Amino acid sequence: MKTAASVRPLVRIVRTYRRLLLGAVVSGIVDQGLAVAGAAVGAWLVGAAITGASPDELRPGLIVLALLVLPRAAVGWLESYLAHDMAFRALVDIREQVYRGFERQAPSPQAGRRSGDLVSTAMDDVERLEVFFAHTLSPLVVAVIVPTGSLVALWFIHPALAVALLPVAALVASIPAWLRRRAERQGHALRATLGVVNAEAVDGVQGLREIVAFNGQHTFLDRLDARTADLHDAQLAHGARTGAERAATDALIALGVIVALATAAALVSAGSVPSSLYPTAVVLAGAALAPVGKLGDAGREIGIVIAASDRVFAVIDAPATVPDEGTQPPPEPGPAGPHLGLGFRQVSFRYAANLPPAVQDVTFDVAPGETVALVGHSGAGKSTLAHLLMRFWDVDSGSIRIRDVDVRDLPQRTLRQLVAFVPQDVHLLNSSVAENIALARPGAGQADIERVAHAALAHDFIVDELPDGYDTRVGEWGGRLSGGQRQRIAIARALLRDAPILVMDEPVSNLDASSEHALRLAMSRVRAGRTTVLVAHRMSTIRTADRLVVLHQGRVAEIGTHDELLATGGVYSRLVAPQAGAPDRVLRGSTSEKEVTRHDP
Amino acid sequence: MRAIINNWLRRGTPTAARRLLGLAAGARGWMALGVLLSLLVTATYVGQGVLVATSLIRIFDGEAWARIIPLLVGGVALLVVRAALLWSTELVAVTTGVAIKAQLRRRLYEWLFVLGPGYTAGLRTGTVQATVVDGVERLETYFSKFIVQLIAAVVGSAAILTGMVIVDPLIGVVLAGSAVAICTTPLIARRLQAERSAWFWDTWRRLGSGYLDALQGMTTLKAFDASDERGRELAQRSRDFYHASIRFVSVANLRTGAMGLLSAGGVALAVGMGAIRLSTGALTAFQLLLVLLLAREAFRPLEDLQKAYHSAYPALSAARGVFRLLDATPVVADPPTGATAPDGPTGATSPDGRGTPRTSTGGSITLDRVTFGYDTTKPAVLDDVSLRIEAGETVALVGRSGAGKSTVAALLLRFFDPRSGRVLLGDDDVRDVALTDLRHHIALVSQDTYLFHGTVRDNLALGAPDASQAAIDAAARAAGADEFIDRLPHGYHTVVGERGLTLSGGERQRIAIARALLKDAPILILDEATSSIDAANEAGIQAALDRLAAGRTTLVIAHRQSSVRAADRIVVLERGRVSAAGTHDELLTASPDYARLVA
Repeated sequence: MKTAASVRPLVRIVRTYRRLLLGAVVSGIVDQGLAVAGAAVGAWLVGAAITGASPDELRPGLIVLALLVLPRAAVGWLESYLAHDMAFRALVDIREQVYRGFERQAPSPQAGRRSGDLVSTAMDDVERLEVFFAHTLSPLVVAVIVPTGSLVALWFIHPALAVALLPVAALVASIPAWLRRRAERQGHALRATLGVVNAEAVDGVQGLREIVAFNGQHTFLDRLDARTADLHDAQLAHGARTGAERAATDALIALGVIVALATAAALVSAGSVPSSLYPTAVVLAGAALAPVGKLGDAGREIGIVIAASDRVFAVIDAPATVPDEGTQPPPEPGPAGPHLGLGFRQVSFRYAANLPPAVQDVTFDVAPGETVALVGHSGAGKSTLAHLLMRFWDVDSGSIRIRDVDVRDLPQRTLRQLVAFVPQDVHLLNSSVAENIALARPGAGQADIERVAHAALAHDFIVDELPDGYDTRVGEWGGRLSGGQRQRIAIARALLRDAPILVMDEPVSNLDASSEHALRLAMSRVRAGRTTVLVAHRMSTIRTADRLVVLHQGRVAEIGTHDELLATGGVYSRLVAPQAGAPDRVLRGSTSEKEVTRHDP
Repeated sequence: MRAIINNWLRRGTPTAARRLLGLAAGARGWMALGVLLSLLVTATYVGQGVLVATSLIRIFDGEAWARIIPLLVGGVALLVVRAALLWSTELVAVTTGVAIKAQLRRRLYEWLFVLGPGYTAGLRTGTVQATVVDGVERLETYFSKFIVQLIAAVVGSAAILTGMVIVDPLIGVVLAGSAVAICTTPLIARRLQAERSAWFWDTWRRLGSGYLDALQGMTTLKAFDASDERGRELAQRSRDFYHASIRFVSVANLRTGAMGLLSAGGVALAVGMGAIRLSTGALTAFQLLLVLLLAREAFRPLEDLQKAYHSAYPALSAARGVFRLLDATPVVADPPTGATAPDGPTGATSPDGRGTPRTSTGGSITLDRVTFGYDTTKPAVLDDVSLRIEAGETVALVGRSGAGKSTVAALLLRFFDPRSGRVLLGDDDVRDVALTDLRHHIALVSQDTYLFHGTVRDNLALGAPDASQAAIDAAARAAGADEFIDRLPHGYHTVVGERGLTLSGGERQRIAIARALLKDAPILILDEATSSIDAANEAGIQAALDRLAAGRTTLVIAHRQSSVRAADRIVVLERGRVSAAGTHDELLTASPDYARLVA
C-alpha cells in the first residue's frame, strides 16, 4: 500500500528514538486508560449509590477515583514531553539529512537549480513532520489500544455488550477509508486552488508598481475575487466531505452509546447484569468509542504528513549527481611553468536520457596560463562545459583532464581547491558582505578581505553605498546590489580563493559603462596568472581571451584567435557580424537559467 | 452573555480587541450562525444525556425493557439532527473563512494601492507580503474557528453549568469553580509564556530560514568547498535549538497538565459528592445520573477551545501587521475630488478606447527645481533638478547607476512627491491631477518587469483589459514578442511561471514593451527598456520603440549610447544633479561626464 511505503522512512527515523516513542505511547495509554477507568469508577459509584450503598460502602470507590485522577496531570505532561523530545530530535536529524541530500545533488536541475520553490517546500515540509512525531504517532497507537481495553472491560461485565459494540467500533474506525479517494482528490484540488489564490495575493504586492502604473487595480481585485470564489468552491467540497466524516463519526459513537444502553437494559431486565453496573456499561461504551473517532482526525493529518514526507525523503534518498570516489593527489605543475593546463577530450553530455545532447564530442585544450573563451549562441553548451569542469555533473563519455588527471579521479575537495568559480548569477548568502567574501577562505582576516575587495573594485561601493560597509547583511540589502556589484563580490571571492584554475561565467545583462569597465578590470586582475575558462557574451570580453572555442549546437565549430576566426569567415564571423562596431554588445540575451530550465524534463 | 464575551475580549486594551473584531466585518452574520449551530450541537448532547439518564432511571425503577424504546428512538432522532448540525457547522465555518478572507484582502489591497509603490519601497516588500498573504490566512482561522468556538464554548459551558446549579447548587458550584480555573490557566500561562512563546517560534523559523539560505546557496557553497562546514554549523545550531526548545516545551506543557487535572478532578469530585449526597438523601437518583452524564459535557467545549487556543497567538501578531498597514499614511494623496486631468474630465481616452496624443500644452513635462530623497537621513537623490520635455519631444536621461534617473520616473508617476519643487504635466502640478488620470496618461516600460501569475495574454493586457486579440497580436508583433510567444506550449494562453516556465530578461522586456504599446498613452517612459535584449533583436525593437515614441512625449532612461541616439536631447545626471544637456555630438565635446559614460 502506498501509505505504508510513504511512512516507512519516517519509521526509520523513529527507530532511533524508539525508547522515547515507547515512553510517549505508554504514558499516553496510561493517561487515557486512567480517564476511561475514572469514568467507569465514577459510573460504578453512581450505580452503587442508586442501588442503596451506604457512604461507608462507597468509600473504597471514592479513594480509587481520587487515585485515578491525581496522576493524570503528571502522565499527560510526560506524554507530551516525550513526544516533543522525540519530534525535535527527529527534526534535527531530518534537517541535516535534507541538507546533505541537497549537497549531494546540487546543482542538478531537480534539487539545485529551480531552487526557490523546491527548497522552501522542502523546509516547510520538514516543519510539517513535527505534527507527525509530536501529535500523531502516539495518539494513533493510543487510539487503537485504549478502546480495545475498554471493549475487554465491557466483555467482563457481559460478553454481549462487547459483541454488540464491536461492529459499531469497526464502523467508526473505517469511516476515513470510505471517503479516502475523494479526500485525496479534494486535498489536491484544495492545495492547488489555495496556491493560486496565494500566488495572486503575492502578485498584488510584488507587482504593485505595475498595477498602479497601469491602473490595473480593478482588474487585479476582480481576478482576486474570482480566484477566491474558486477557492470557496473547493473548500466547500472539502468541507462537505470532512463535515460528513465528522457527522458520521459522531453519530456512530452516539449510536454505540444507544446500543449499549439498549443491550444493557435488556441484560439488566433479564437479571444477567446487576443493575449497579448499568451506568458503568453505558459510560464505558462512550469512553471506548470516543478515541476511535480520533483515529479519523489522525488519518486526516496523516494525508498531509505523507505528502510532506514523500517530498522530504525524495530529497534525502536521491543519489548523488556525481560520485566522490577519486583518490588521485592534486596534479603538480609541469616543467614549463607554474601553471596547470586543461584538456577536454571528446566530451559528450546530456541532462537527461530523453533530451538531446547538450554538448557532443567536444575536444580542446587550455594551455597552462592561457585564457580560453567559450563563445556561441544561447544553448550552444558554454555554461554546460564550465559546469562539467566543476563536476556539477559528470560527462557521459570522454573526459576532462587537469594536466592529464581525469577530474573524476580527484577527490571533489581537491578539485575545488584547484578551480575557482565565478558563476553568472551570483548567489550571496544571507550574512555580511565580509562573510560572503570570506567563504572562499574560512578564517581570512579583515585585511585579506579588504585587499581582495580592492582588487575586485568592490571596496568603494561596499564602503560608500552599503549602510554598514563590510558588515551589511546581504539579505536585507541584496536587492540593491546590482548585477555588476554581485559579480565583483564573486570575483573578490575567487581572488581570495587563489586557485590555479579559474572558471568564469560572464553575466549577460547590460551594465552601465562605468560598472562594466570596473567589472572588466576586475576580471582581468583575477585572471592574471591563472589558467582560465571564460564563458563570454560580450565582444569586449571575447577580445581579451587568448583563444576562442566557438560552440554551435553543442559541438566545437571553430577554434582560434579572434582575428583568425574573423578571417576564415565561419560561424564566428557570422555570430559577431551584428556587433561589429559596437564593442559592448551582448551576444545573446538569455541566461543560463533558461538554458537549464529548457532542458528540464 | 454578550457582555461577558466582550469583557473577556477587552482584557488588555479594549479598543484593540474591538478593532480586531472590526476586521471580521462582513462575516459577522456567518460567525453568529456558526455560534448558533455550535450551541445547538451542545444542546443535542445535553438532550442525549437527559434521555440516557431517563432510560437508566426507568430500568433502575424496574420498569419493563420496552418502556425505554421511545427514549431510544428519541436518542436516534437527536443523533440524526446533530449529524446534520455538525455538517452545516463545517460549511458555515468554510463560508465564514472565505468571506473574511475576501473582504479583508480587498480592503488591504485597496489601501495598498492608495499607499502605492512608495510605501513598499521603504519597507521590505516581504513584510507587506507576509501581512496580506499569511497574515490574512491566520486571521481568517482566528475568526472562523477560534472566535466562533470561544463564544460557543463559553456560552455552552455556562448554560450547562447553570443547569447543574439548578440540579444541585453545591455540585454546580464545584463544577463552575473547575471551569473558571480551567479558563484562567491559559490566561496565567499567557503571562508566563507570551514572550517566550514568541521567542520560541521566532527562533524556530530563523533556524528554518538559515537552512533555506544555505540550501539556496548550495551551488556556491559547494564550489568553494564550504558546504560541509556550513552543514556542520547548521546542525550544531539545530541541536542547540533542540535543547532550548525542549526546556521551553516542558514548561509550556504544565498548562496542559493543569487543565487535564482540573477537568478530570472536577468531574470526579462532582460524581463522588453526588454519590455521597444521594446516600444521605440530599439528591435523587435522576439528579445523580444527570450529574454523571452532563458534568463532562460542561468541560468538553472548554477542552476543544483549548486545542484551538494556540492559533490565537499568531493571529494577534498578524493583526498587528494588518493594523500597521491600515494605519500607514499614504506617501502621496489624491487631490480633492473634482480635480481632473489637464485635458478634461474624461482623461486622454477617446470613446473608442484609443488614447489620443495630447495637443497644446498638455503633453509637456516639467521638473521645476525638484529635490527628493527616499530617506530623510541620507543625502538627497535628486538635488534641485530642473528639466523640461516639450510635448512630442524625446529626451534621454543618462547617468551612472544611482544617479537618480529612475527616481525621475517615480516622481512623474507620483509614487512619491518631491521634498521641494514641482513636477508639472502640461501646466498642472501632478499633485492636482487625480492619480488614476495621471497614470492613465503615462505608459512605463521598466528595467525589471514583473509578470503576473496568469496567462501571457493577461500580462499583455494589464493596461488595457478590453483589448481585442488583434490589438494584442499587433502589439506583441511590434515589440518582437510574437515569435517566442508562439513557441510557448499554449501560446498566448500559457500561464507564466507554471511548471518552471520562466521567461528570460529579454523576453520579459518585450512583454513590457507590448504592454506599453497596448496602453497607448500620450507620455512614455522607457526605463532601461532594452537592457536585456540581445543584439539580434535590438534593432527591430528599437525601431518599434521609435515608432511608439513618435508623436508622444518620451523620457528615455538609459546608460548606453545606442538607446539614446534617437533622442532629441540628452540630459546627463551626475549624483542627483543635471550636469549637462544637449545633443549627443554637443555633449561628447562639452561634457566629460557624458564622454566617460559612453566610452
